[in-house]
This record gives sequence, structure tokens and C-alpha cells, in this order.
Amino acid sequence: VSEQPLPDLPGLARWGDELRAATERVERTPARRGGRPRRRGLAVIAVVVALLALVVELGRTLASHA
Amino acid sequence: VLRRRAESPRFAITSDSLDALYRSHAPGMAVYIARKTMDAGIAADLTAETFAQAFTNRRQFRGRSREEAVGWLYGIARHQVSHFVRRDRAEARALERLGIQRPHLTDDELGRLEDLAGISDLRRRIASHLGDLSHEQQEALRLRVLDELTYEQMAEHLGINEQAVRARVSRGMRTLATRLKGDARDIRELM
Repeated sequence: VSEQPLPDLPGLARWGDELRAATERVERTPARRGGRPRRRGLAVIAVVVALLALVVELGRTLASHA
Repeated sequence: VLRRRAESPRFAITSDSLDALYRSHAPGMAVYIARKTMDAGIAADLTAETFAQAFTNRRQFRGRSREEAVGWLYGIARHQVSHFVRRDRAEARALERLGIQRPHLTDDELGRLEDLAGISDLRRRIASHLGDLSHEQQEALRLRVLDELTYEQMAEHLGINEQAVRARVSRGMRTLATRLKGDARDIRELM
């Protein structure tokens, strides 16, 4: 594992600039797929609450018909 | 020791830290890969893919120091080399994910990289030991190492299947490796 300065290989140095630009771009972009974990957690809780409400409502409807 | 390790903060692979690692280690890594693959162009491509993969897989890195990050990078590089040897082509998935092209090196730069890696000298030494091998192995190695044909091209050229070509090259390499003890590790990587 050796450390060597880049000037001898300008093509590699230029590519390093491209890598930096691309990685900065990724860091600036918020994760899209699935959202952030906190938001995902809130979405799961909302779905569970909605399902519970549905079950309770269904129970009430059935009880009123009985 | 474990407690001290647990207390020390993680070394994060970020745009900044990866850039610093690239500036200090990319040339050394390109030389390392060039010695393994005996091809400066492939070495530049695999070096780029290694750093791109380090970023796309940055959350998998659990190290706590720059040295550990360098070791991790070389682990990725070794994986790239073995993938290249097995598949006969350079992986570029991480480059595609980041949306960047492979590096473009001029002929002078590729020559410089070959010099740094001592590829010409290694090729010369291999050529001088080819006479120790059977005619079939000599031809296979000449096509693979000196003419830089792919296994597929070699199979077509020799009129045999790719598996037989790989076996010939592998046996020839093993024999050569014993002759060239100093370069044995580099030679074995080609098999």
C-alpha cells in the first residue's frame, strides 16, 4: 500500500474531480426510495391505526345487525 | 482494548474523506492492480470502480481509522481483480450508479502507469521463461499475456472451448510462477 502524489497521472486526477462531484451530488440528494426511516415509521403507524379503526367500525356494524 | 475500540468514533466514508483517500492512494492502487492484471487501462478502470463502490457501499464500512479504510479499499480492489480474472471484463456497476464515466488516460499516462508497475519488465521475464513450457501452454500464454487476447478470442483462435483455454493458461501460469518466484503472486492472479 503506497502513497504517491497524483501529478504524474493527470487523467486519474481529473477522474478524482468527477468522483468528488458525483459523491457530493449524492450526499445533497435526500434518499428517495422508501423515504427516511423516521418518515417510514410514521407511515407504518398511520396504516396500523387506520386498519384498527376499520376493524372497530366493522365490529360495530356487525353488532348493530345482530 | 475492545472498550477503547468501542469508544473511538467510526471513520465515515464521505465525499470529503473519500476524496482525500483517492488523492493519496489512487496511484498506488492503480499500480497494484496493473501488476495483478498486467494492463494499465484495466487498472485505471478497476481503480475507479473500487472508489465508486467504496462510496456506494459506504454504510457497510465499520472501521474506525483511515488505515482501516485503506485496507477496506484494497479489499474491494482485490475483489475487482478476481472478478476481472474470472469474467474477463471490468465491473462498472458502481460507476453506472454514480453516473460517471471510466477515467480517460492518455497513452503517455498508460505508459507511465506500466513503468510504475514494472509491467514491461514482467512481460520480458515471462517471455524469457516461456521456453520452459509445453508448446500448447506457450501458445496459450503468448496469446493471453503478450497479445492480451480475451479467453473468448483465444478459444476462437485455437479452435478449442473456453474452459480448455483457461486450463492451459492456468497450468502454464503455475509452471511459470515456480520459475519466477519473485513475481509468483502477480502471475497467479492472472490464472
